[in-house]
Amino acid sequence: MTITRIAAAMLGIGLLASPGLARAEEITIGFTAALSGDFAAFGLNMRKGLDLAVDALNKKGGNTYKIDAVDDRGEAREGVLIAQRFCSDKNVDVVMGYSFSSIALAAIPVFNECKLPVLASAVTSPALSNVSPYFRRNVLTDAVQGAMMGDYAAKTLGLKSIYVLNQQDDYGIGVAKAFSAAAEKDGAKILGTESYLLGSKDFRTLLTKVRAAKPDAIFIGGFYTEAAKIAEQARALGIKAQLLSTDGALNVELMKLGRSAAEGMIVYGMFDPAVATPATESFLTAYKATFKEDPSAWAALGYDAGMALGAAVELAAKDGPVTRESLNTAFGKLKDVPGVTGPTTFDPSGDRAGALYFLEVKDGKFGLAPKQP
Amino acid sequence: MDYLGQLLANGLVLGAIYALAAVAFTLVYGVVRLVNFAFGELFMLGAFLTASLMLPEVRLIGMVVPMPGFSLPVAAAGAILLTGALGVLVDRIAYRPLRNAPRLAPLITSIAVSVVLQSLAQTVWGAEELRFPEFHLATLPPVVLFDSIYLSVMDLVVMATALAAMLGLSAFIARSSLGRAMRASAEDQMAATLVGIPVNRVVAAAFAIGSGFAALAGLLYAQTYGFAHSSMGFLPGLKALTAAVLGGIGSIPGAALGGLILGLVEALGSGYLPNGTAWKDAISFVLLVGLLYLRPQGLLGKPELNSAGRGSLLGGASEFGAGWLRAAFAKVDGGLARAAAAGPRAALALLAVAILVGLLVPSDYWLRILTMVVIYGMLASGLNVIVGFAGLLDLGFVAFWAVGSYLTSILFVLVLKDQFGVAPADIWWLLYLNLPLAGLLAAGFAVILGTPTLRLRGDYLAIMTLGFGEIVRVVAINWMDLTNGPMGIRGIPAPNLFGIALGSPRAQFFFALALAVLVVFAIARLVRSYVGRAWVAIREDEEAAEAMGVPTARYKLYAYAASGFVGGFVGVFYAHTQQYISPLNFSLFENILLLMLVVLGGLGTFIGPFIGALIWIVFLQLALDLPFVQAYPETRFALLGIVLIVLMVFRPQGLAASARVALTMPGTRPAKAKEAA
Repeated sequence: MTITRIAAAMLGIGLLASPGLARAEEITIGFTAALSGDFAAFGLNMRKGLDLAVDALNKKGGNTYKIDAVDDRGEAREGVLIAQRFCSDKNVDVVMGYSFSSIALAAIPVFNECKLPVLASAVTSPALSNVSPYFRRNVLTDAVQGAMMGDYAAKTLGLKSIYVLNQQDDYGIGVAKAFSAAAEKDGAKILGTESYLLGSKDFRTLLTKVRAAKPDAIFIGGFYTEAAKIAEQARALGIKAQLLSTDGALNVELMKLGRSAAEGMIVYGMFDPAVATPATESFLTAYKATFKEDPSAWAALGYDAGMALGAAVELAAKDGPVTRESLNTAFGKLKDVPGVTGPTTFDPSGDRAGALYFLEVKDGKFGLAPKQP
Repeated sequence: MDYLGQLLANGLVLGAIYALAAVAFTLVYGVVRLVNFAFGELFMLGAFLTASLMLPEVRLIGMVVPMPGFSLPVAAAGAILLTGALGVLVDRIAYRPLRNAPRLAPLITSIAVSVVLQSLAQTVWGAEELRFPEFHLATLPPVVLFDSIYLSVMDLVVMATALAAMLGLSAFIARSSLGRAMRASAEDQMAATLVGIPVNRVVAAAFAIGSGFAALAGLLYAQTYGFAHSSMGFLPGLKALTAAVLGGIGSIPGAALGGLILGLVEALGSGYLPNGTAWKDAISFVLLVGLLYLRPQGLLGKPELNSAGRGSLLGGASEFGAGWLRAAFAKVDGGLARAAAAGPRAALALLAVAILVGLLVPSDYWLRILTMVVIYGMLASGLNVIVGFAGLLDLGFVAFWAVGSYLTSILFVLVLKDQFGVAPADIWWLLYLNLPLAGLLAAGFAVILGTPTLRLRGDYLAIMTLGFGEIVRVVAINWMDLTNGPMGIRGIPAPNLFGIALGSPRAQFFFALALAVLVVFAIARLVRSYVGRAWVAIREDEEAAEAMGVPTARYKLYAYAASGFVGGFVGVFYAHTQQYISPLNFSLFENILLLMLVVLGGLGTFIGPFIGALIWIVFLQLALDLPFVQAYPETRFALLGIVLIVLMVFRPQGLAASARVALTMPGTRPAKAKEAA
């Protein structure tokens, strides 16, 4: 036992000393998101995507990657503690994940102190733009996405009267405001806005109100769990309006939960599982083979975040050892890293430019909506 | 008309399910006087089991397992039986050993059971919602009344089932011999035992029936809304509790009525108020608080139930535990008791240790954790004033904490920085002004909250305070002009003293420690004064205290005010260490957590809240590093729940019970007497 250990250690020293392999470093990813509790699904999906990316990067050889995952349970109190945990652990080179903007916001002052770069994949609050030179995300802000959807609904689809529902949190409020402003500017009438708490199950009363207003369309600024229930309960109340929703609803679970009621709903997202580019296709097959299910948009963003990290590490390794600081600089220099959600480039504000796909539920699957802007 | 009609129909469907859940809740409560927080999880399991039995195959722990694919009635019957059996098992493991324990111990184990079941359900069924399988009745077109009121066929089935089940249960309780035995046990367990009723078996039967009903309510709920999810039971559990209290806890027709009213009020309230859906949960709690104020025993409840619960808040002990385990606890206990007896010397020694730890711990991460321990210890100390010293079970404490945090954040960020452009660093002194100011504001709040609750006792009081806590949280979410709503307030400056930033984890730890010294010193002075003696008198026996000339109402309000002051005071510091707050920080779970810390450490002790906080927070952080927990994150809370159940079953009076502040004559305290025996 001891002898093998010594041998292994010597071999290790030998490997380190050999010049050709000197740059093969181990990159530790601190991953945090809600992995248990009510809202675990987003975090777990991101994690699956990231796992897949890490496997791919490790297979490629060179630098090795490992994940140190910490569950924040969606509880705000944990944000600062987890951030400090990663800061104090000298092995951690980069932090990824984050399900909730509020928890990321709470953590950022700590990351600023220890200059640890963060690449988040599911937090869309505009408050996170320009928040720190160490914070980046590969998902569009809800303000940008909501406005694009508003334009699409009023101009492309030509909808005249829309009722807006949103979940009462930073995501839902942000996306609904941007949507309403854009749609009104393009001539649609917003008949009313109502909000509901995340985790609500009963929307009949809300929808009774909506039914009385007789809208052409209902916009649901929220997650698939509620969007599916709203769709089902709306159809059960005899509402036939066009349903519109967000990237929060772009999840295969939407059709599992909402079934026929979800048919015809139009959502947007940065990932289209139907676009058969080679990159998307290999991701789809690998994901299905590993996890026996279809990937969601969050899994795709988690995967792309992993790929962006791979590119940044390569870039940083060119000019010496990979440190938190050099990795942060490298993130800023990335240009058009290919990914399944389109190419990744980070603005100085930490946001990413990208395109949206408008997708329609047809026969239980997301497909490109017939009308595109 | 069609609007109102549809709202009424919606309210009836919701009300039927609430009523069924409330009846199940009240059945168990009536027999064992236990607010079973694990109720919502039995509700959830009913839904999951039914859905699983109906599917041809289901994914359990990530593996596809073939399932029988029963139709809804068969699957429902299976799920009800299984859940009923589970209810009996839970009673046997977690509640029965605590029948004679201090009153809060079973409450805490029920919370722990709830945490364990919920985490296990997530491990087994996954984090995603499980679609509830289609039943052929559900595919029929909806029934349309008067051209405009839509009801699905399943809605009618749900209402009919709920009605039949409630009538059946009422008949069973009234007619059958087991039902009579239950009523007898509910009236007086001792007398029931004396006349030959096997009370333990009757209680088990009540748990079986209550759990079966919970499962039924859960599966109907899941069928109505089309899904099952591991956390689905929490809110309906809370609503069932609210409905049961509304109707008069322990009364079955009352629970049914309460559920129906709650369903209708929620539907009409959210239908007619502007943005009503977001305020829905607050509506039901406002109704609850208003009703309890006017009629403390609920609609159909018996007035005598509005009294202190059976058994003492503090006395009594566990029924079992191996000899060596008892000896081990006794040793810890003895040490703590001696330390408590040593008074100021021990306190100073403890402070010295804390300072040394603060100086020597090298890792910023651990310093942050310890700061968190001190903060939660202080908050739990504030709660301890009202629960541990005055004996009033308060589930709304988190509201005072929120008041403090929001006051300082609104002043610093939303008013001074955003409105007047004042840099936080220029007004560093405001923090020190805010500490007492927020304390006073929260104390005022506490008195406002306390006044209507003065007529309430025991569990009614707990539910009413819970209602207040939830109202404050819902207001914080929805009143966006004041609190910035769910977006929260960020950029709260770190503490600063004469221009020296105290932002580093080490500085913050010492800041927290200094505040803790102040808080504990103030509480200790207060408890040892005439006021504290009056509190303990109220805690031990309110009637006797009143008879001996203690103006109980006034001293209860003092207890609320003192507890609120601590909450607000610590809340200010909390906001400045977190630098970001949102309503997410002040959930009901935080309040339950604080209560758990107090009970775990020992009610009515000075050190107990800190011991509880230390165990809880350090355990959670250490568990993060277990490889098993890394692979299955949700098991961390399951583990914590199991640890809590074990601690409570073996040590229901709290870890540091012997350090309890002795304010009574030596030899007169029941807890002491029992332990000595």
